[in-house]
Amino acid sequence: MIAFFLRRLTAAILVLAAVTFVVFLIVYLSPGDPVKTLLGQSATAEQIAGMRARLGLDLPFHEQYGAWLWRVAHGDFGRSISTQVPAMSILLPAFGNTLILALSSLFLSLLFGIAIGVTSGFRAGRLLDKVLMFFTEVLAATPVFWLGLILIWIFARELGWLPSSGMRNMRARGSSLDLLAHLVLPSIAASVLAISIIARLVRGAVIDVLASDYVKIAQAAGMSSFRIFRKQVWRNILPPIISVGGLQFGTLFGGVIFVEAVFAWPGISAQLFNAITAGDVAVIQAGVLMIAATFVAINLVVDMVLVWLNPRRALS
Amino acid sequence: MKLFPTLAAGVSLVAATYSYAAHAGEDDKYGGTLVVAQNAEITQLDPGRQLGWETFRITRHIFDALVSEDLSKSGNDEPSPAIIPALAESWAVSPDGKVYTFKLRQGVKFHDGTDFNAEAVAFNIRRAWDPSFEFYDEVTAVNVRNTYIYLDKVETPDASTVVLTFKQPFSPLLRLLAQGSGGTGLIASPESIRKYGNDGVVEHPTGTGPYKFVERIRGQSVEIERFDDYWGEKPYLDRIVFRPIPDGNARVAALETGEVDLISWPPRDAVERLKGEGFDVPNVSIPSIYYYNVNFANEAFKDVRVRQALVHAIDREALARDLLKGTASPGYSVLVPGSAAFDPAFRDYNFDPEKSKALLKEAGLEKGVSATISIYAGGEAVAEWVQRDAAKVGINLNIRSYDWNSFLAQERTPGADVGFSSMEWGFLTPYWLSIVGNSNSGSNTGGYKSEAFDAAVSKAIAATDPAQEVANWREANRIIAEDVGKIPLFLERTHYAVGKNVRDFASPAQAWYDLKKVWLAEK
Amino acid sequence: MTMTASPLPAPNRRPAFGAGFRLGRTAVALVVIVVVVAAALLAPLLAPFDPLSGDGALRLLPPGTEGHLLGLDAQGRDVLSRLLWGARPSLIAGLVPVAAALAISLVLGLLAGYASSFLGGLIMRVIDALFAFPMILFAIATVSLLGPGLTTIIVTITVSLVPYMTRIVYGAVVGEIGKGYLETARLLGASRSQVLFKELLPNVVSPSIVYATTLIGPMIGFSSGLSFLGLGIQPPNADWGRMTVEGVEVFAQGAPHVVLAAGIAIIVTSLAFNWLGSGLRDILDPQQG
Repeated sequence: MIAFFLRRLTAAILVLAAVTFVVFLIVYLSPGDPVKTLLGQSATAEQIAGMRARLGLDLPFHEQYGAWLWRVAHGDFGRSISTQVPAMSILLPAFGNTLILALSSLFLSLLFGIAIGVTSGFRAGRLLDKVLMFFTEVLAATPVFWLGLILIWIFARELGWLPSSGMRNMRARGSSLDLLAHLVLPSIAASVLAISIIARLVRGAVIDVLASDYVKIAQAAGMSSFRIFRKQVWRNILPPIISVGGLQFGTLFGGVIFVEAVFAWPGISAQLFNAITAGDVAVIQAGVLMIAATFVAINLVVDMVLVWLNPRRALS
Repeated sequence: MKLFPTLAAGVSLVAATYSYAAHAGEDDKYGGTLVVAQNAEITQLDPGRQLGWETFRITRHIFDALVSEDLSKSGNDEPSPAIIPALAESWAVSPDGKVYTFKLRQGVKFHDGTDFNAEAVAFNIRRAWDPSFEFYDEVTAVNVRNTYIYLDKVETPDASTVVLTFKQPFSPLLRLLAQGSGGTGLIASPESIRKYGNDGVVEHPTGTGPYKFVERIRGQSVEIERFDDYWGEKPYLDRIVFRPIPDGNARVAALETGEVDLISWPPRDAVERLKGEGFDVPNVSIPSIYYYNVNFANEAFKDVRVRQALVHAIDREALARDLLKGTASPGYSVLVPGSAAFDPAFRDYNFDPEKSKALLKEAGLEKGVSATISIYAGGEAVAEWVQRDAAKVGINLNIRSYDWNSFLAQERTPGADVGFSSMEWGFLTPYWLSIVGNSNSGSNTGGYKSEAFDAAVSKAIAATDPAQEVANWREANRIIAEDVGKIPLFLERTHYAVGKNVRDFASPAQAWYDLKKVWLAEK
Repeated sequence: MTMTASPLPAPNRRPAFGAGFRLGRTAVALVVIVVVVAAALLAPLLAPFDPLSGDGALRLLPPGTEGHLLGLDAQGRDVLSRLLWGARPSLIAGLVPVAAALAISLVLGLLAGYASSFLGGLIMRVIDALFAFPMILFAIATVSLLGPGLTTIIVTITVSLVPYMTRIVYGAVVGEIGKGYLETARLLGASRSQVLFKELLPNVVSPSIVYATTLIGPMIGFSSGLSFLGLGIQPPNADWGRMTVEGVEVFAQGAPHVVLAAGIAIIVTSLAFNWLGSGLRDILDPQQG
C-alpha cells in the first residue's frame, strides 16, 4: 500500500510538472499580452516593449520557465502581470469558492445519481425506469448555460424563491443559510450531467448484482429488497461510484466555467478566464497547478480507497 | 380593485408620493446599503492604475482630485457638467495659459488619518510623471499620460498651494483632473503608498473621498462605507457594494429580484420590459461614441474613396432606431455631445448607397472589395448590421469577434486583412480628438495620420482664447471626418437601470456617476 | 489503474427494455438522424430565406408570422432558415471530433494496454495530465492560433475527448487481455501485430464505437458553450450553439422562440444519437446486451 502510494505520488508530481510545462509553452507561444492590459489604451509601443523587458517577458522560453519553476519550488507563485497583485491572492479565495460549489454539486450528483440509479435498477424495464432514464438522457443533452438561465428565470425571477446570482446577500452579512440559498441553483446546473452519468452507472451495477446467483438465492430465501440492497447491492456498486464520483469532482472544476459565468459565482474560472485571455502567465500557471493538483490528488485518493476496498487491484 | 386598475394605480401613486413627501425629511434619507451590479470585474483600485469606467465609478467615491465635476443633474438637463472645487478651493490660470495655481482646502484628512496638503499633491503627480522620484510608477505614468504630457514642473510654495507649470498652454487640464479612464487627477494618501509600495497599495486604497474602502473580494464584490471625517457634505448611504455580473440577463434578473439596486448596461432588449415593470432606465447621452478604427495598413481602405464609400453605405439612423431600438442615437463625428466643440448640425457623410457605389467604381473596385472587421464581444449585432448594409454596395466584411483581452492583444497589430476594429470611448474635453486621432497618440489605433489634423489639434491645445480653441477643434474634427480617419456609428443612451427603492439617482452626462446624494426609500 | 470512467453516460450494460421497444427506439433515432442530416445537406434548397441577412423591421416576430414558420430572430432573420443551415456546423462539431478522438484513442489505448508496461504507463500518465489540463485554456490558445470558428471547435473538443475515450479503450483492452484467447492465438503462432489487429482490435472497436456515439449529442451542446464564451462560430454564421446564445439574449424579452428552436434541436439530435448508440450496441455487442 505504501509502495503503491509512493509510486503514484512520484507519477503525480511528474504529471504536474508536465502540465505546467505545456501550459507555459502555450502561453508563451500565444499572442495575448498582459502588459497591454496592465498599461491600457494610452500606452505607446515603446512603453509596452519597455515594460515587457522590465518584467522579464522578453527572455527566451527556457529562462522564463526555469525562473518560474525555481520560484515555485520556493513557494513563490509570483505576481499577476496584468495587475501586479500576487497571483495567489487573486486565486486562493476564488479557489475556495469553486471548491464550495464543486463539493455541493458532488453531493447533489451522488444523492440524485444513486437514488435514480437504484430506483431504476430495481425497476428495470418498467415504466418508472423508462421515465427516469429518458429524463437523465434529456438532462445530459441540455447545454449547461442554457439550463442555468432557465433555472434563474423560473426560480429566481418568476417564483422569487431563490437568489439569481452571486454567493451572498450583499445587504445583510450572509449567514450560512444565505450561502445555502445561493448555492442551490448553480449546484443543480453544475450537477445534472454527473447525475445522469452516475444514475446510469448505478443502474447498470444494480442490474448486474440483482442478476447474480447469490442475490437470486437470497431472494429465494425470502430476504427483503431493502436487506438485499444493504447487504449485497450497496457493497458492489460502491467502487464504481467512488471512481466516477472522483472523476466527476475533477471534471466539475473544469466544467463549472459555464455555471460560474451564468450565476456570477465568484469562483476560479472567471479569474482564470481573464488571465488566460490576457496571457497572464503567472496567474494561469498558479491556477492550472491548483486545478491539476486537485485533480491528481482526488485520483490518488480514489485509487487508494479502491485498493483499500480490494487489495488485489494494487497489483494490476 | 381589479376592475379599476388605472384608478388603483393612481391611488397608490398618490399614496406613494404622499408617503415619500412625508418621509423625505433630511434625516430620513440617511442609512442603508446600495448594491450596484457592474458589467465587468473592475481593474485596480489605484488612481494611477485604474482603467475603465466601472473602476472609476468606484474610485471616484474613495478618492478626490483637485477639482471635480458636478454630476448631480441628469445629462439631459446639463450636457456638460460643470467643473467644481474639490481638494482645491480655488484656482487661477496665468494669462499665457501655462501656469495653474491651486489653493488647497484646509483641514482635509485622508482615510488613514494623515493630512492632505500640497506635499500630497506633489507626491501623487511625481509618482505619475517624474522618473527621478522614489515612488515613480511606470504603470501610472502610462495610464495618466494624457494629463501630464506637457507638464514642465510642479511646485509647492506653501502647504496649501500647488503650482503646475506647463511647457505650453494646456486648456484640457481641469477636465482631465476631474475624470477617470485614460487620465485622472485622483489623489491617494502618500503614507499608504510609502507603506504598501506602488504595487501593494491597490489592496489598500486610501483617499480623502466620501467613502472609505472596506474590502475587495475578486469576482464577488468591492465594499465601501461612509467616511465620517469627510470634508464635504455627509453622503446619505451607509455602505455601497459593487458586484461584477458580466452576463446581461443575470444582471437584469438580479435587479428584478431586488438583489441589486442599480445595474450598468441593461441589455438593449430588456429596456422596454424593465420600464414596463416600473424600473427607471434613464435615456441620456454620455461623452462616449461607438466607432470603428480604420486600419490604415489595409490595402483597400488606404484609399479615402473606399472609406467614404463605406460611410455612405451605412444607414446609421436605421441602426439606432431599428436594431438599437432608441437606446442609442446615431453618431456623425468622434466628437461627442456635451463637448465644447460639438456642433449638432455637423454630418460627416449622408446615407447614400448610390454615391457609395459610384465612389467604389471611381476607385476601380466596382467588382467589390473584402475586409475583416474585428470586434470585441458584445458588438456582434451591430457588426452584422453594418456587414449587411456594406454588402449591398459590394463591400464584403467578415466579422471576427474576440473577448476583450484577446481583442486588446491583437488590436495594435492587426493583419492587413483587417479593415476595421471596434471601440467605444470618449472624453468630454475636445482634447479627445487628439487622443483618438493624433499621430503621436498611443490610442490612435489603426494609424490614422494627417498633418493637417495634427496641426489643427496642436493649435487647439495651445489656444488661450476659448473661441479660438473651439474653432481649432472644429477644424480638426472636420478634417478627420472628411478623411474618414474613424467611422463613428452611434452613442449609447441607456447606461443604467435603477431599482424601485432608489431615490435621486442622476444619470449625468459623464461615463460615471455620483452616489453622494442617492438615498433609499426603504432601508 | 483506476477503473474506466466516462464523462458521460456509459452505455447501459444490461437490457433496459424489451427487444421490440429497443428496436423501435433505434428506428426512431435513425429517422431523426436521417432527417437532420438531410436538412443539413439540403439547406440551400429547403431554407425559405437567406440565413445571414434579415429585415430589421421584422426583428423578433413570433412563430407563425407570415412565411416564417419559426419566427424571426433579433436581426430579423428567419429562424427556420438559420436552423437548417446551422445543422451543418452543428453536426460537424458533433461528428468530426468524436470520430477523430475515437481514432486517436484506439491507437493510444491499444498501445497502452498491449505494449510494454513502461510505454503503457507513460501513455496513461500523459492521459492523466490531459485530464488535469484546463480545456478552456486549450480552446483559447487554439483560437489565438487558428482564429475562432469551426476548426477551433473541432480541435478543442477532440483534445478534450481523447483522455476519456482512451480510458474506455484501455479498459476494454485490459478486459480482453484477461480473457486469455489472445495468449492462445500467440501460442498458435500469430505475430504480435496479428494479435493486435486481428484479434484484439475487433473486440475493442465495437464498445468504443458505441460509447463514441453517445458522445455526439453532448458535444453539440458543448460547442454551444464555446460559442457562449465567444470561441465558436463567428457571426453572422450560426450553428445551433450560437443560435442558443443569441436566443438567450432575447429570451427574457418576450421572444423565447429563438432559444427554444435551437435548444430543442440540440436536445432531440443528442437523444437520437444516444438511442442509436444503444441500438448499435445491441447489434455490435450482443453478448453484453
